[in-house]
Amino acid sequence: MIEKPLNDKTDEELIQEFQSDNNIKAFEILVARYKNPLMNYVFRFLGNYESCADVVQETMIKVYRYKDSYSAVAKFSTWIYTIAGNLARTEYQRQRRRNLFSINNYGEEHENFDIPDNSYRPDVATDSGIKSKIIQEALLKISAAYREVVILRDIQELSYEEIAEIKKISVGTVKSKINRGRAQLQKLLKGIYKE
Amino acid sequence: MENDDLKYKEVINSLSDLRKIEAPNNFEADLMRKINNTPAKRQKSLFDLIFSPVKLIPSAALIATAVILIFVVNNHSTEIEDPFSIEPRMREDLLLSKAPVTLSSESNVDLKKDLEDKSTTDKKFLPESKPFEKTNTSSTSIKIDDSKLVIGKIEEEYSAAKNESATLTIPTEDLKSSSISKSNLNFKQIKLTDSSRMEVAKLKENANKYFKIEKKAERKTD
Repeated sequence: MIEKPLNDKTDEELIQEFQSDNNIKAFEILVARYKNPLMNYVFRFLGNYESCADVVQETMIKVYRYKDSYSAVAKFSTWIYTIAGNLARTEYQRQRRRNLFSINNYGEEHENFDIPDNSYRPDVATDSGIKSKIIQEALLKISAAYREVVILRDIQELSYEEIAEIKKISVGTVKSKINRGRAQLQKLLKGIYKE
Repeated sequence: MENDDLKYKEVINSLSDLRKIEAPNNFEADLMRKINNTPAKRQKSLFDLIFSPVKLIPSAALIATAVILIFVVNNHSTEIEDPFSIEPRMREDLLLSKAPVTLSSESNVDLKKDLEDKSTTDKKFLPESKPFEKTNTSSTSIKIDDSKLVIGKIEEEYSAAKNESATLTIPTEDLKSSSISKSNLNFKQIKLTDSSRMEVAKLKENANKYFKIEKKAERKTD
């Protein structure tokens, strides 16, 4: 029987090949398939390209090192999104702590500053580049738990079932979280939609 | 659910229209370099998991605290003194009589023997200087330096009794007040040597002979 070329194999077949034969070529194909979707997902979550590239590379290293912990029961995409999501959340918390610390260092102790935000003013949001920047900033303003599911659904276009599996919550909870996230976003982007 | 999608249609469209982010060109090269540079983490054995320093430090601290606590609590308990460094206890409740003790009757044979033994052992082992004084008379009379106890003329009276076959009398009140039993003695117990034991045995025989002669003499007089 003629074996399928590696490029034609599914993700699950490739990871199994990598697990059993330690086939680096299979791993490289998986990296090529998932590097851009994961970059998109992590960037929208973190809002920082450099740290996003680091997180995706760390995700791929984890896949390489812990390939044997993947079982064929789950979809490969679910497994790799779970790893990336966990690493992205850790990085986000680290960045938040660092930002909080640096802002507090500006003035007196326990004194926080309100930074004026003019980006939602209709006269500022003119072209599409600025618009996407505004949407990204709005995404970063909503709660991390809602942001993650909104990105997975509306940007990555995963099904509710897949998101439920990645987040290890019920489909109903996924749906409600997505709606709450969308509602918060709509509120934040009110100025853009009036135009 | 479709109602929700319609409700947030603008948001959904905005998000899906966002530019797709792509990985940098050298992504794979960087990744393979990182994979080759970072050594694989060694699987920790059960021994490492149990005896890792992180887990040993709290337990060691707990043991140290327990040991310190035991020592602190034990400080309040009774101290054990070195028995060799304790000074002998003064028995002020005993040996009040200043009068010389006179021995009498058969019932006091033991007491006489005790005193005799004591006098001989004292002669042998006690130093001649302080706290004891030795008199120049033929009889040995031993005085304790605080003059609370005077045992005098023991040997003299005992030899007189031997020679004269006279009865020795000790007033019972005096005896009660001044008698010293072995159990009440707070002195160093000295073990007799074989030769001294032989001497004691001879003395006992002599004493028994003496008392037999005495009884016979009494019967004759009767």
